[in-house]
Amino acid sequence: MTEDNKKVSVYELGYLIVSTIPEEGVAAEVESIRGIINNLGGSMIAEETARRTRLAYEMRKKTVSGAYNKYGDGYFGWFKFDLEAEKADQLKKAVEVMPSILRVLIVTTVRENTYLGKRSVGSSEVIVPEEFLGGNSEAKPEENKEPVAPATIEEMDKSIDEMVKEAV
Amino acid sequence: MKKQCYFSQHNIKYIDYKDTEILKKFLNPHGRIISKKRTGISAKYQRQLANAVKRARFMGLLPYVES
Repeated sequence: MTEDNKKVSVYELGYLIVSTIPEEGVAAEVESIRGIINNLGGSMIAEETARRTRLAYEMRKKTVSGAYNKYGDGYFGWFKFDLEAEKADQLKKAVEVMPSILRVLIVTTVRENTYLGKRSVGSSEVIVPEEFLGGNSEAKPEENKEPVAPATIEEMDKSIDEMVKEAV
Repeated sequence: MKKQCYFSQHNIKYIDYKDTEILKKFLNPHGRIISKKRTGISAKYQRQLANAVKRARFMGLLPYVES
C-alpha cells in the first residue's frame, strides 16, 4: 500500500482474549479495546462481540512471572473502524500489552461487509452507518451487496467440491 | 476445459480470514493450502486466499498442522 500516512483507511482489529477470564468479565475487556480505538480517533463501522471458541492449536502466553500459560480456548471478536494510518501501529502496541490479550491482528480491509460466514446467534452486534448501507446487516440479501449477492455457503460448498474433485 | 475461478464466480471481492468455512475448502486434510494448479483460482485470489489462511492460522481459527 503506497498511501500517504495521514490518510484514513479502514482497518479491522481481530482479538483473542484468554479463556481464564470469566464470561462476565469479557465485556469489560472488549470495552477497553473499544476505548483505545476511540481515544486514537477511530470511528466504528462494524463489530462482532467476543465469543468463546476452541482454538485450532494450543497457544502460550508469557505471564508476569516469566512462566508460560497454555490456552486451548479463547474469546474471539473483532472491530472494523476508520483510523488514520499512522495511528495503526500505536493501536496495535496498546492492545498487545493488555494482559488479557492472547492475539491481536490488524488488517486493512474494505468498508463493505466481507464476512459471509454464519454469525453466532445473539452475540453478533453490528453497527453500520445508515448512509452507507441503507439498512442493518439483518436486511443483508437485498441492499447490502449491490450487483450480485455472493452465493451462500451451501452453494459454494457444492461447487467447490466439484472443482476439487475434478482437479485431483 | 478450463476451470473457473471460485471467487470470481461467486462475486467475492475480498477474502475474509474469518470465513473459515470457505477457507477450509482450499486446505488438504493436513491443513496445507491446496496449490493454484488444483484449485483453479486466479492468481489474484490465490494470493488473497493464502494471506487469509495465514491470518486465520495466526488467530487460531485454522490449524497450522492437522494430524
